[in-house]
Amino acid sequence: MVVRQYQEELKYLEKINDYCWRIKKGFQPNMNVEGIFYVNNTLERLMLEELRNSCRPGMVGGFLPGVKQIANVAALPGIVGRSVGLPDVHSGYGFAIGNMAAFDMNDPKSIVSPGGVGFDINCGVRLLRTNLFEKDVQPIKEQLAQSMFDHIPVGVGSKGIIPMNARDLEEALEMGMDWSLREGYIWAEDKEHCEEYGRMLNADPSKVSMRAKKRGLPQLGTLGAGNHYAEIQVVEEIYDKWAASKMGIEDKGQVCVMIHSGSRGFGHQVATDALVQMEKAMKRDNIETNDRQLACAHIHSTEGQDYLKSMAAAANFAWVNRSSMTFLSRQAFAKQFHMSPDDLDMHVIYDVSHNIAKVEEHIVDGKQKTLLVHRKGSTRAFPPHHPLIPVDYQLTGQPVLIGGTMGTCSYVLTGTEEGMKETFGSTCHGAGRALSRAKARRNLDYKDVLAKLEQSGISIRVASPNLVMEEAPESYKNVTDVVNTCHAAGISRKCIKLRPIAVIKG
Amino acid sequence: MTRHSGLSGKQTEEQLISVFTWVISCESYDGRFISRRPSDSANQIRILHAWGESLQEAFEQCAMAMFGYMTDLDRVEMTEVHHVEAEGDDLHSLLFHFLDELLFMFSAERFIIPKKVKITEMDQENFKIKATAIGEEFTLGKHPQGTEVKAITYSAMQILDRPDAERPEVFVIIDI
Repeated sequence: MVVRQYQEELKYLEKINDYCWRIKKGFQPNMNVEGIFYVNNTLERLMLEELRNSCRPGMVGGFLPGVKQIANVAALPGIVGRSVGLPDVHSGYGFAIGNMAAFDMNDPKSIVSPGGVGFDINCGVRLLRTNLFEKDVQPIKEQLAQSMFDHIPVGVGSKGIIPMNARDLEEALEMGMDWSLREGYIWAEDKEHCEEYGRMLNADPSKVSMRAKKRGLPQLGTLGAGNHYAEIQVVEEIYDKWAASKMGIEDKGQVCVMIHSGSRGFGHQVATDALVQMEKAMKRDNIETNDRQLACAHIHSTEGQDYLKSMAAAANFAWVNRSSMTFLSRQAFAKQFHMSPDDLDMHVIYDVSHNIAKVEEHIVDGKQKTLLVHRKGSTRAFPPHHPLIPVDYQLTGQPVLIGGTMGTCSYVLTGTEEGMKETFGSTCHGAGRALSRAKARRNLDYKDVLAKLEQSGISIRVASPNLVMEEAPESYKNVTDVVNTCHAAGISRKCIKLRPIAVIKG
Repeated sequence: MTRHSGLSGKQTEEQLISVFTWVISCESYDGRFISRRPSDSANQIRILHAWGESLQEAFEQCAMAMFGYMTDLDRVEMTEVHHVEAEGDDLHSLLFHFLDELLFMFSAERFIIPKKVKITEMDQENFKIKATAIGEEFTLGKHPQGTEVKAITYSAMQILDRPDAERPEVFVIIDI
C-alpha cells in the first residue's frame, strides 16, 4: 500500500459532479484503468473519513479503506472501463463490497477472482407480491410472522426441511430452478422473473469438491444468519406508477414478501476451495496484484474455468434455496389465510443476484465486447429493451431489488440506459455497513433494538436475539441515501418503496 | 470482547479470546505484529486471537474461539468424540486447514459442536495435525444459535511462537 498524507491522497480524487468522484491513476500502483465512486454528501463524508483514518500515523498495512480497494481492483489484469464503487461501498475481502469490475474475455491476461464475487455466491434478493393489503394482515400479523418463522429454518445450525439426498443435490446443482420446478416447489412463471431464468447453464457439479456438497446438503432451504432475512413488507410509496403496475403493484399498502439469502455453506466452501487453488495458480502464472486478498486466475486457465463452473453450481444452489423458501412462505401464507398461494396471487416480482460474476455483452469505447462482469454487493440493473430481461419488463427496465436492513425500508428500482453506459448495467445492493459489527455491539443493547422495532409496529422473530444489534439500522449506512444517490446519478430509477411489518431472521 | 474459559487450570482466565473487528498487522514488515485497532468500516469479519503455553494450545484455543462464536459452549456436553486430521504446506496452511476441517465437522451432516478440541499429534516438520473434538450434535433448543462462520481466511493470518514472541499466539480472520 502506498503511504501518503491525507491531503496528498486527495489529489488523486476528483469530484466530477454532486454524486460522482473519479479515482485517478497513481492512487494505487499499476492501475490499468481509473476508478469511480458514487456518493451523496453524507456518504461522501463517510467515505473520506475512512480514507483519512487509514492515513493516520501507525496505520500502515492490513486494513484497506474501500476507496483503496476500488483502486487495487483497477490494477487487475484485463480490467476494462472503470472499477466502480457503488454508494453502499465498504471494505471487504479483497474487493470492496459494492464494487463492480469487468474484464475482457478476449484478453488472455484477463482474470477471474473469487474475491470479486464474495464468499456468499449468488447471495440475492427475491420479492413476492400478494393481493393482500395491510388491513388484511394487521389483525393476524403476529401469527403470520410466527408461521413464517416456523416454516423457514433460520440461524446457525438449522437444517433444511426439503427432503434431499446426494443425487437430488447433484441434479439441483446442475438444473437450478428447473429442478425446483420439476420437483413441484415453484411455479413455471417464477423462472421467468429471475436472473438467468434461475439456472446457469455452465454449472458443472463435478468441479465442486465433496466437502462443499456435504456442507450444502443439510443446508438447502435454510435462510442462514447474519444479514439474511425474510420480511413481510407493505408498499409505502410508489414513484413510478406505470412500472409498478407492470410488477403487479397497484397501490400503497399492498403486502409483499422479501427473501434475502444465498448459497449457504455450499457457496462458502466453493469460494474457500477456489481461493486455495488460485493462490497456487497466481504463483505459477506470475500474476501480480496489489493485495494478496485479490487472489485470481486467468479466465481461460484450468483454475479460472473450474471456478466459473463451480460458481455457477453455487449460483444454482442459491436459486433453489430461495425457491425452497418461496415455497415455504407461500405455504405459511396459505395456512394463515386459508387460501391457496395462487388465489393470494403470490407471484415472484423478481429475483436478483448481488454476489456473482457473469459473462455479458457491453459496449466499450464504441465496440461491442464480451466481458466477465464481477458484481460484489452490486446488483445488475439492465435498461428497457435489453434482450436478457423478461418480456414483462421489456418496457420498464429490469426490476432491481434493494434490501434494507432490519427495520428499515427496502426499494425496488429499475435499470436505465445511463447505468448501462456508466456502470455496465450495475447499481447498489443495500445499505452497506457504516459501523463495524463489534462497535455496533458495544454501543447498542439488543433489548433497545427489539423495543424500538416493536414501537415502529414491526413484529420480529429472530433465532439469536443477542446478535440483533449487529444488524440494527444504526450499524448501516442509510439505505435511502444509497438509493437516492443511484437515482440522482441516473444509474437506476426509484420505483417502489417498501416498509417492513414483520422480520424473520437468524 | 468474548471471554472464553477453555482449558482447565490457571491459564483459563488468561486464555481470553479477544475479538477485534480488524487487526492492523504488518506481515510485510518482517512479519512482526505492530498494532491493532478496530476500524470503522470492516465488514462481516472477525479476528480470532488465541494463545497458550505452546503453539499446539494456541491452535486448540483458536478452534474454541471459533466455536464460541457459534453457540454458548457452556451448554455443550461432552458425549461423543470425533477425530479430525489436517495437513498443510506450511504452518499457515496447517492452521487454515485445521480450522477448515473443524468448520466442516460442524457444517456437514450431523452438525458436531465440540466443547473441547485436543490436538493429539502435531508434526511441525511435515505440517500434520491429528486432533480429537469432544462434544455432541448441535441441537436447536438446547444450544443457543450464535453467529454463522462462512469461511476461514488467510488474510492477515499470524502465527507467533517462541523465541520470537513472548508466548505462542495466533490471529485468524474468519468471514461471518
